[in-house]
Amino acid sequence: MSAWGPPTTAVEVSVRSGSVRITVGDVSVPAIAKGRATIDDRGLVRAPSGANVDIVCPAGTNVFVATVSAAVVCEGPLGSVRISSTTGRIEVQDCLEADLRTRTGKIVVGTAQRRCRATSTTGSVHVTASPELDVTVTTASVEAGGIVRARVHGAAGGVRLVAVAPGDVDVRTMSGRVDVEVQGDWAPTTDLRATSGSIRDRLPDIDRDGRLQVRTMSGRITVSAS
Amino acid sequence: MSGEVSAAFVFTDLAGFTAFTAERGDAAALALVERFEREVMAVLPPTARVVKQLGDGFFLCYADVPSALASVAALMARCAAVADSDAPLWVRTGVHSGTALARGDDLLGHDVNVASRVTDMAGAGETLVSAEAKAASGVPAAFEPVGPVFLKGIEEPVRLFRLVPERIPATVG
Repeated sequence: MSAWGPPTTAVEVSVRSGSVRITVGDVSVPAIAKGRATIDDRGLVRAPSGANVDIVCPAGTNVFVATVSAAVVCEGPLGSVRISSTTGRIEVQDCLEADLRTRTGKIVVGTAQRRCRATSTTGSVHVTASPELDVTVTTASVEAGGIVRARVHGAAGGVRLVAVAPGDVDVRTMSGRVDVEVQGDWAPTTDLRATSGSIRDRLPDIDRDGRLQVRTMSGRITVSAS
Repeated sequence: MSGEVSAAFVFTDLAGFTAFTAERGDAAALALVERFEREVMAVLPPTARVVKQLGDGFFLCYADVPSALASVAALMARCAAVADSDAPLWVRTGVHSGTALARGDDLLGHDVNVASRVTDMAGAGETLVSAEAKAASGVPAAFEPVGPVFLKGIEEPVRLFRLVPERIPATVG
């Protein structure tokens, strides 16, 4: 069984402020490692507002965190990680899949093995590697690598994606640069449209596999191979 | 009209509308809202109504959650099909069920406020629902958990779910 085998445990934390840190350790059930908090046998964590909560859990644990301003750090390997925040920074290092929502907090993801969904108003989104990506931002930059399938909506702010295998990538922006880099000996069919911005398609003239669609109003689109 | 109403409350608006207006101007923004309004009206069943409209947002009231979800799924599909760079119908929607008090044609109450706040958490092309709406949907398998979230003005975290439209049976609604 992989580190992301059938998850049997879950942790749920709701704390308005303070900090939340969740790490994987050699434990059979989630436990409080540090901080003024308690955890019941369902993984429900109770902590006073403003507490700094440090939790250790088995690999593959599903994580739910709700906060207003707490900084949240999740190391891995974890299962499904679902975090909502208003202003707090969200950092997830290694998980099976992630659903992360914030208004102004920055979102940083290392690896999401299966899928990463992120929604942000002004907080930037950085994903090192996720084969499937679904991001909505209002005014924020998006950077993501290891992409096979992606859907990105951004009103303003640059988008930079690195696609690593043929799939379906769809980027829609109103302004800001869109840069898509294709890694490997392949190139997607491109459908690039800019109402008033410029388009540069630098992909090699080879057989096409997969699809890349970009729509922007005033942004500049650049597609390149590496 | 007055008295208590038990219903499904839906708020829907356009992600990125402020940026679109700044980028393309008021006339284009007005045209976009009118396009969105046509799509909203096209999916509204006879038992539902537009309670009010503010800017790019619509407050809709449905007789029950199944009809609301069927309508919302149809709206999302229609808008996704026609969305392009000139008409970015990046629709986001929140659904909650409960009660409200009527004041003329308007509806007021905590559950209405919750529905509005749920919408704030949704991304483009996404429908989020409360636990109450999920429970009343009759299709519990049509949702993925989002988890607890703190909604503005509400003390306790609220558990939200993401609608997966393709999991709604065609007969619902």
